[in-house]
Amino acid sequence: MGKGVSTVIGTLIFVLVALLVLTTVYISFTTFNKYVEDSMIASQRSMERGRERFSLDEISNVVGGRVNLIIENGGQVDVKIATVYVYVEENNTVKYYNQSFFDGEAYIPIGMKGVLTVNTSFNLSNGNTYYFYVASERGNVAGPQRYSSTQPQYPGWMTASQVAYQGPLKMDYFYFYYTYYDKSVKGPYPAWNITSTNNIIFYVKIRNFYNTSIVLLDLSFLQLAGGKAKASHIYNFYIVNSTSTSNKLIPYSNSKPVVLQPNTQGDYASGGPPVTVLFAASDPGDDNFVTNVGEGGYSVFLVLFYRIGSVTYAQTIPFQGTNVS
Amino acid sequence: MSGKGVSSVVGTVLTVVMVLSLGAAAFVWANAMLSSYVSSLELSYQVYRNRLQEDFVIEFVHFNMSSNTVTAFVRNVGDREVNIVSAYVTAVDGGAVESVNLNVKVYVGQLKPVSIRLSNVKLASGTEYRISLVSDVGGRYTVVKEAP
Repeated sequence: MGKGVSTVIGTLIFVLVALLVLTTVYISFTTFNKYVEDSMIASQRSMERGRERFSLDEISNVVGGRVNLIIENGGQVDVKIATVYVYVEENNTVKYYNQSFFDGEAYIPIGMKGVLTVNTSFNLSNGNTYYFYVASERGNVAGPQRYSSTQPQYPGWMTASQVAYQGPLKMDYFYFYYTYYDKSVKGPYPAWNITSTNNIIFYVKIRNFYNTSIVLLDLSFLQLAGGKAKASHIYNFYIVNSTSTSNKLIPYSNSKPVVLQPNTQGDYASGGPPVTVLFAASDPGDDNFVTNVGEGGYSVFLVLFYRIGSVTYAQTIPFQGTNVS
Repeated sequence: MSGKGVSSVVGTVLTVVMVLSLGAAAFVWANAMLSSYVSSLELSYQVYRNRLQEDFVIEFVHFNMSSNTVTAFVRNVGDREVNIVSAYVTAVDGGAVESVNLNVKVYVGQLKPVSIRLSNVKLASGTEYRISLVSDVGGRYTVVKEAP
């Protein structure tokens, strides 16, 4: 019986030690499991950040400090924009805007373009140069997208709301840019004030507000009318292929036309997706630049010939003025 | 007979005492060793887990040339609070290194501007700078930006 007692005590102690070991093993496994879970969460976070890709394509419809940012989600995960940064070049300042300054959710599904309306505290039309950046919730950043609005200072100038449209095509009032031939020029630059007339190419963004596709024809041109000698100076810059540069123009061909799509996806604030159209040639379907453009103030007209189905139409947009100096 | 009985009882008592004392010693030793092991294991994993849960990025950098200050806009994109404890700024092409002690807490999802006033490094336009922020658990994020 005495031997039996010590056996029982020994067994009890053994069981206690075994329990201690088992508890230690359990705690070890639990701790390791938590670590593995955290590793997986961290990997997932890192992977999603890597799969997120988006770009800030365009800045449009600027009214005061209110601005539309066109953001394209080219990645493999949905994007939620968390912050918009605005950097002002002239005074080297930066401001940032979070969700509370956005109109609605800044959520862009995979493969889609979205419009993010931001209410900034700037007067964006004051002639300063602004650089926009957008940052997602995952910490990725797109940008910069430059915006400048140097307004012309002579009669004929009008604001965006003053432009009258009679027809299915509208242009982005603020996207009126140009490039010219200079090895140091990176452009395009706002075309409110043209400082060189050497191999000019104008860039204009056009949208289709009609419910079917519109095909631009080679007769379309951008016209500068005026100059120092007023009506005697009229220059037509005909549409060219979008791959043209100030080194070389590629003729526009009606067999490979610009097609303006209607807004079928409902993801644009108004109209179909904007298309950047280039104007530069001296004649329709030609690859020669317009030469000898004189100094002075010009009224600008956009004359668009286009086809809907098999029927040809035309529309003139007297949208802006510019100064050649 | 009674003498044999006494020695048997004494023997049993001695055996019980020996088992008890050896068992208790083994238990105390095992308990101390395993507790120490568990504590150090949990501590080690907690450090690893803190690093895994922590994640922050520098979204934007602003250079203020007149005050010789760099402001990094930091977003906490992780699952735990970040405590930025130091910043390092140096020109990419060499030169002095500025190290600044900080104590900036950035909560989960929060965006916070972190200003770094420089004394050893003089900001110059067109120069690229490497800016690193380090957290209290050893997390680091580095960006290279050009001063305007």
